[in-house]
Amino acid sequence: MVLERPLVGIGSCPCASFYPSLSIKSNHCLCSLFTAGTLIGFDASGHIAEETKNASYVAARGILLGAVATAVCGFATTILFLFCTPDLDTLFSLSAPQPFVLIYSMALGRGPSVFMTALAVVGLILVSLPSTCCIRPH
Amino acid sequence: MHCVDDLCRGQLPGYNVVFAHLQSLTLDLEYSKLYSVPAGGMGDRLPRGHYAQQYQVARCHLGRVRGSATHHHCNQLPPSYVQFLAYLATASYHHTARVYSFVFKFAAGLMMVDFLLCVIWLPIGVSRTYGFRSASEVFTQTCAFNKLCRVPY
Repeated sequence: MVLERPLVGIGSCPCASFYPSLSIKSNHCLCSLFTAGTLIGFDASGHIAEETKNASYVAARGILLGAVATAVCGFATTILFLFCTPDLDTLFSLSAPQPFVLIYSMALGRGPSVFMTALAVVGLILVSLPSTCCIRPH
Repeated sequence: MHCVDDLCRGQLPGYNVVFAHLQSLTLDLEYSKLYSVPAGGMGDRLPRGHYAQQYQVARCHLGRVRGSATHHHCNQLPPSYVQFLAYLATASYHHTARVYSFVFKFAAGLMMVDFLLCVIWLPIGVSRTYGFRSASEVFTQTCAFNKLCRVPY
């Protein structure tokens, strides 16, 4: 018997393929969280407000600018990625835990995909550096 | 303590249970001597010879990772991996404090390079290989409501 059932997904969120065994509502919640994840870190300037001069003004301004910049750039990137993903059958057949590596690989080739992935990894390490630096050992 | 290395430690039954606590106390003392990050305020310069000492510690660490039986290239106790990471996390407080501004600007620049490459390079690559999805496919169609897809697994 051929198991045929619709793949769950609301809108055209590509991350629906991550959770194929969940219900539609659970997928909707997880996909919303997934796209909201781009906003994580907009309050990073608040973490280092202790070391900042004129923090009551500068840190608050940094948080606001961070939120605006993340929203604008994240919205553009999300729309761009929606157009740049392959068709749904190909996308759902990717079984890697991080399918964007494979999307880079399909679109750009092997070397450039390694470069872009390494760039993302270094960026993530640098993002987490302030919280590492701000440990006060004394 | 130097004669008990990792190889024979695994072969002694009950060794970890009996002596683990005692050895961990001793190791903590040794490591606290090895990894003493000098006291001082944020951004204070580290004393002369600190980096040379930490270089030796890192060489010991590498020798242990490679599994060399004798640590003839270092004259002190090889550090553990966790302690090495703890040293890195603690020492970055001193090492990077003077270059905070540069680190933040560099990271922001790297983010912008990543963003611009994604915006410029990825669409070029997509248009050269498998092509874009159409607007109706992106915004209106879903796999669930318009056609039945076979579950790939």
